[in-house]
Amino acid sequence: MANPDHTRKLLARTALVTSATIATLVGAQSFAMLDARNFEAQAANSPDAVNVLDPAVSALPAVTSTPLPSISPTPQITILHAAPSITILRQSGNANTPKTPIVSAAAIQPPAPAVNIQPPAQTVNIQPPAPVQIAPPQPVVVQQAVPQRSRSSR
Amino acid sequence: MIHLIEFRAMGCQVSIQLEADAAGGDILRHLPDRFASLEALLTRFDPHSELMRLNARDGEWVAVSEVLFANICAAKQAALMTDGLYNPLILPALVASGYDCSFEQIAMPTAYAASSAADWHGIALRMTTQEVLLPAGSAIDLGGIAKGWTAATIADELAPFGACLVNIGGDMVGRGAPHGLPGWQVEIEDPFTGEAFTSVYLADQSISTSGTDYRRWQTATGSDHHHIIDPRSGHSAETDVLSATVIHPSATTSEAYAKAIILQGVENGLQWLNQQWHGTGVVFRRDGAAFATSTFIHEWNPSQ
Repeated sequence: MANPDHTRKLLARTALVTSATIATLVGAQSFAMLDARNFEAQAANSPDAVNVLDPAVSALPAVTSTPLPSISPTPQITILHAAPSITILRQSGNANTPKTPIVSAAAIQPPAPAVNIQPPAQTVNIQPPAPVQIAPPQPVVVQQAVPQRSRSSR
Repeated sequence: MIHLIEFRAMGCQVSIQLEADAAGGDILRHLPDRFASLEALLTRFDPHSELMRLNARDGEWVAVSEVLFANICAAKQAALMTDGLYNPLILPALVASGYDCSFEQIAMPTAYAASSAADWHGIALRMTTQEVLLPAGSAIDLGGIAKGWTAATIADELAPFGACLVNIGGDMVGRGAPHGLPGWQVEIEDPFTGEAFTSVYLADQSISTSGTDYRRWQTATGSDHHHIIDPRSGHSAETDVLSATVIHPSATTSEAYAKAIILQGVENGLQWLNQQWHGTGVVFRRDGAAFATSTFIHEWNPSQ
């Protein structure tokens, strides 16, 4: 009759060996999957990978956007460069100088008064101007919304 | 149908459109008087306006009207949001630079004497009694804030009758959209040509443009000035920005942001605007280049 102590030890050893084997197999499989994933990532970044793509895939039609209908067309702008936060709409040197003139103090000086101004010989009876009724602005009806322009206040 | 009324107020050309039935004309007819009553309270060019009477009593608590109180609250908030780049206490510096009367009347400014603006933190408000305390020696110029506040207030008053667009000298507030359109078409002016550079559809938003391309003058000594004063120096802002346009839900905020961009310059200004809530805009540099925030292209779909 077998010694029960030996039987227990044998079972324990068998269990240890079996679990170690299973752990090794699982670990090896995990490493293999990790390697496979790394390989795919490298392959995707590699310029060589482009060459092995199916030509049919690269010939997919480009995504196009349909422009919104514009009711009142305005000058077209071209986006020259798109940064994460700031977009250049127009490069320097592509515009004329500001057309708004600077108000020159010299240009708006009153004319020099005449030296020999004689008072009128007769007393002039100055009548106050006749009152004029200035018509207040009246609203009008327009066929469609009138485009407005945003600019420096004026 | 769309009703349109145009008149001059606040030193600007005003244009208001309202989409409503036949009664729309009657609704718009009273607006010139409404503007005149608001301007009488808020202008700095009339020594008898409520604003100037408040300015004459700096250093003491003064009870003011609901309109003036709301404007000063908006101005202080704008200063807070721009970290003082917009400063309502700029008036003494503006006057010292020669802009001491409405721009149309500037004739022969005297010598230029720069003075930096007082600390805006010193503006104290009592909400319950609508009282204001200005720091001693300071004075308020509401400027674009008053225009933005007025445009938003009028637009809010008109909105129950239909979609509307209120335009005060190029700064606009839109409420709703005209039938069949995504919004009110607003062109952004190219300051180099005076023509439209691009356009957007404005609905329930505001747009403000501020620039150094307009309201420029020369003192008797020959030095050039413009109306955008840097509150930190008291001088006309030294900037590479020719004009800045900002779109924002709040009209007073878009006004303040546009000025803040001018003071910061193109690059820093646009990066700063990108960090603000709902701020988007277009900036023209003095060398002719034009820039926009990325949100302007992606969210506003300008005509291109």
